[in-house]
Amino acid sequence: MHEPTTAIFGLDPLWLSCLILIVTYAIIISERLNRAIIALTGAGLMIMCGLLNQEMAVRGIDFNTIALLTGMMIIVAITRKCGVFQYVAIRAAKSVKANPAGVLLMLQIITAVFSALLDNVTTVLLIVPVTLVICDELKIKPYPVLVAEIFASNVGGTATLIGDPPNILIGSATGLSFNEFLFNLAPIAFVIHIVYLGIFHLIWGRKMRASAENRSRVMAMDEKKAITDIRLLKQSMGVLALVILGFVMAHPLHLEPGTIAMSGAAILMLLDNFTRSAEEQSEHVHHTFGEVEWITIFFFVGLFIVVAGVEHAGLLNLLAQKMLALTGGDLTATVLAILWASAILSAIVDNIPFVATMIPLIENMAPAFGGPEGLKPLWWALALGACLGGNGTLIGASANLTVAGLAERGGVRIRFLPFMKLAFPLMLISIVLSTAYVMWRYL
Amino acid sequence: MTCKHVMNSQPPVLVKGATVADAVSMLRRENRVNLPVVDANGKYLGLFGAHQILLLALPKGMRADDEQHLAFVSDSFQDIENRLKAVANHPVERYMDGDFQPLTPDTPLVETLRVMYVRRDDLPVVDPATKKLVGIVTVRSSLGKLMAST
Amino acid sequence: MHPESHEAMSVLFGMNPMWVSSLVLIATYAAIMSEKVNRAIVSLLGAGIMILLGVLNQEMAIRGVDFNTIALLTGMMIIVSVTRKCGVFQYVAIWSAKQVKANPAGIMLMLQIVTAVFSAMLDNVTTVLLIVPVTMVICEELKIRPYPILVAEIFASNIGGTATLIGDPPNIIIGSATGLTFNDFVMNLTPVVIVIQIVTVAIFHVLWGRKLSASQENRERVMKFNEKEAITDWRLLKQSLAVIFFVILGFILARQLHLEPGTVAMSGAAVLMLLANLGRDAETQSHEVHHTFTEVEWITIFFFVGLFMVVSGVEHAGVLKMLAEYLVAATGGDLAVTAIAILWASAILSAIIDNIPFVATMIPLIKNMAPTFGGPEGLLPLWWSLSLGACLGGNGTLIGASANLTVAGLAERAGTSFRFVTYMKIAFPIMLVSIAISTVYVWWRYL
Repeated sequence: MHEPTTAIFGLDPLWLSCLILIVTYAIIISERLNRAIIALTGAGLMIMCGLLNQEMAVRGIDFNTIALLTGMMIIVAITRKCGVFQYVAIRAAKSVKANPAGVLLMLQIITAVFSALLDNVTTVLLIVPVTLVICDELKIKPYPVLVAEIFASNVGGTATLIGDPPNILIGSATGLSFNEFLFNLAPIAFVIHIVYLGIFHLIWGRKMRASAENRSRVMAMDEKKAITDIRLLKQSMGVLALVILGFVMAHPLHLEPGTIAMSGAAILMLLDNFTRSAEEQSEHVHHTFGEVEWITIFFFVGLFIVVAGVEHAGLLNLLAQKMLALTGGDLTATVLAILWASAILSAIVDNIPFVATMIPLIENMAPAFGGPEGLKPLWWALALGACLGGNGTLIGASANLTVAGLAERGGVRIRFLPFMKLAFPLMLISIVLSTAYVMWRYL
Repeated sequence: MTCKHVMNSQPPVLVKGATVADAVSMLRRENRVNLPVVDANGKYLGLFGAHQILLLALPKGMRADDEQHLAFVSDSFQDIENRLKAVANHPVERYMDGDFQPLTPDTPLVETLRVMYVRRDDLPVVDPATKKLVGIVTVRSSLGKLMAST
Repeated sequence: MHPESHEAMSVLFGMNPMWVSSLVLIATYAAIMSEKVNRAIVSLLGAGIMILLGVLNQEMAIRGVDFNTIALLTGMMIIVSVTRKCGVFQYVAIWSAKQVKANPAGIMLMLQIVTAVFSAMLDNVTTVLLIVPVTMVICEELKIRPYPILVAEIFASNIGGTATLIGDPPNIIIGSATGLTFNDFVMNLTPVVIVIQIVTVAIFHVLWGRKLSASQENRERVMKFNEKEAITDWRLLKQSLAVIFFVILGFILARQLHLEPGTVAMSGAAVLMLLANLGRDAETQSHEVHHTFTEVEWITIFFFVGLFMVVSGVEHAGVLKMLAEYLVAATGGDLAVTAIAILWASAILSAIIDNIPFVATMIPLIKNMAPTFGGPEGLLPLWWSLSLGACLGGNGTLIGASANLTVAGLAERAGTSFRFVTYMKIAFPIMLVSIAISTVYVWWRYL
């Protein structure tokens, strides 16, 4: 099992695995083929070429991440049906008397909070449609609100273990707990979010106007009508609260996030189904499983295997040594290099393959920094860079593309260049703040 | 504005026990795409219309898998007609669509239009307390009322 | 990741892990049998409880999941969900009906053969999902009762599925847990399956086939079917058949290539999705791929995942080892008695309950018997008995196998109803015939 496998035709495993990795990533970046297909094909090649056997490949998959993602996706797929997100958004808009600047502010806060607890893409999928309805009623341009929501979702997602896939990956690989993410990342995410609230108010919020008549239309909305199923609402809120409590208490309970999320999902499916007939249940459960983002899940599965292939061939160890030589083994230089490099790279390429590759690479640096404990500043730098960097361009994070896609269908165009001109500098501000934070707190 | 404002309150209905043949002639006479089915007390049971009749005109195997293509079947006009004749005396409640959650008189107008858009059909309106049919909203008459004011 | 994972776990409140895990197992199986709650939910909850109670930790639970089975099932489901869209199954069914001049007895025979062959290569449920609708169309045109043919198809699908490693979930789990290859299954099970299929075909011919008749005019109508029109996408057809060919070749050559079935199936699935999506724009691809993944039977997959964890909980607590010792003691450690007991017990049990949880539990139990029968090699007769009993037993009642329920469900929608007792009166004796043949075979070849 642990013996080195022999690559086909006696090729050098290091070069062969490196080639497969590069080709896989190049095709992922080119976006010519669906990313799940390409990652699975890359994984298949790693095994076929003899760089891994099936057992090693399976061991390379981080099933804690897979279970956590799948579990949360199932919970969200059921919860979203009850209309709670619309309810909260309308409630928030009414709490500021439907004043546009206030609506902008409230929607950013809601997006950030939901993104911290749920997947970013899900959050924007739920918040953008109701945002478009509110803007339509107020007769204001939705563009500023949508851009602000993109930022809020990426910043909010940075704050917790479960907020953004890079954090899930890092947490699962390192064993850092929900609470550690909260203590180390939430403070800086909070500061960055406040700064963004200020910036968006200055450039857009204070100039937005809506007539009293249009505002009264929003005030006349009945948020209670948005709730389609009050029983389901109570059940899903109960389960969501239990799951988050589980994350917080994970350590004393000896539980891992994957178990908590999947158990929560099973309980919610049980509550949602047990009064139905067998046939209805089977249709319902099938539908719920169908709503899981399988493309993302299989993308992760394939990617884990590809990375396990290069890792096994020793490539990542080699790269880690090279990087250490470059930074002279200096912790500060390494941390800052990781922070800025991941921010810039995440703005232009998908951050998930990047983070998946960086994790074993950083783990290989442990000896240089006095064991796993010494790596912590590197993990926080990686998380901050990868999550916040996604704000830099329209293709930087899946949430950005999702907002753009929904907005386009609603008749609002978000273009690549105009977005980048504004977003890239704003992203850099957040990285500067992160740099200051990391320097002050860890170095 | 609610559903009430665009509803026809005295729609033609099929009473439980009516046959497929009755339904076809009523659909043609009233120029409708579907009709609500009610019991003797006026309680709403389901919808029966063009969609259900089309399915009855197709081979039964179709009902086992509605994604199956039938390009290979060489049935003549006569064969299809025979299939409909065979069910002409069956009661409509055997084939009606009973799953659709009907609108209520208080459903907001916007929501009414949304459901109509999603279902592409005329829709029954039912009193939630008595479960009795109180009317239907049709695509044609709603559009007529909406466009009249512009 | 977790250095402590190999040490014994401490169960909540210091309860005895053997009792706790047995209780969870029994409660889970009882809930599955009651069919009050969807089986995927029940098995996931059972797995969750095993972990929450501390019988397992997450890492042990994950190690308990047989990912080779999961990958094999998922990969084959993806391949089938892409392939079925091109209409090849309808093509074959119509072509075979025309080969026998649309004579009803001949059609019954041909459809049984087609079903058995497809079931050997694909999942049984998928096979009947594809074959039943076109069967109904053919029967309707011939104006014959579809019931006899549908019953014959149920038998053909369960019998055909027994023949190969990939034909039926019990075989997949057995193959994956024991490392028996595709070729081992073909060499050991296919011969007896062919005999059983021929006997069953004969029984159905005598019972029903020879009495079926259709008018010349109605037979004409079927003869006029144009099977080429059933093919909706020629390009996809060629791609899918090529991929299926290579996947099966891969299963056969697995040992020489050092590949496992899970890798072969998943790689085949990835290549087929790649071929099917090449040249499409990004948005269409994402839509199509999402749809393909949605068509995977996730209920079955998660049912397996949860079940594997529950079983690994009782296994870890030592319950299965103890049961194995009891069983060996009861049969006096005699191989012949044990093999035949397993064959008949699994046939009868599989006829009344879901065979998957049963087989998943039996596997570690049988493995624990290895010392008595001279190591893993000595267990071979037991594996073949388990497989034959579990797969063929499913024919006995309407609820014995998922394929049976699927046929009944599809037929019901199209107006042909299946009744539990009526079906059982015919099916149970025929099932017993197949088990009697299997007993002779196992006895003659292995004991």
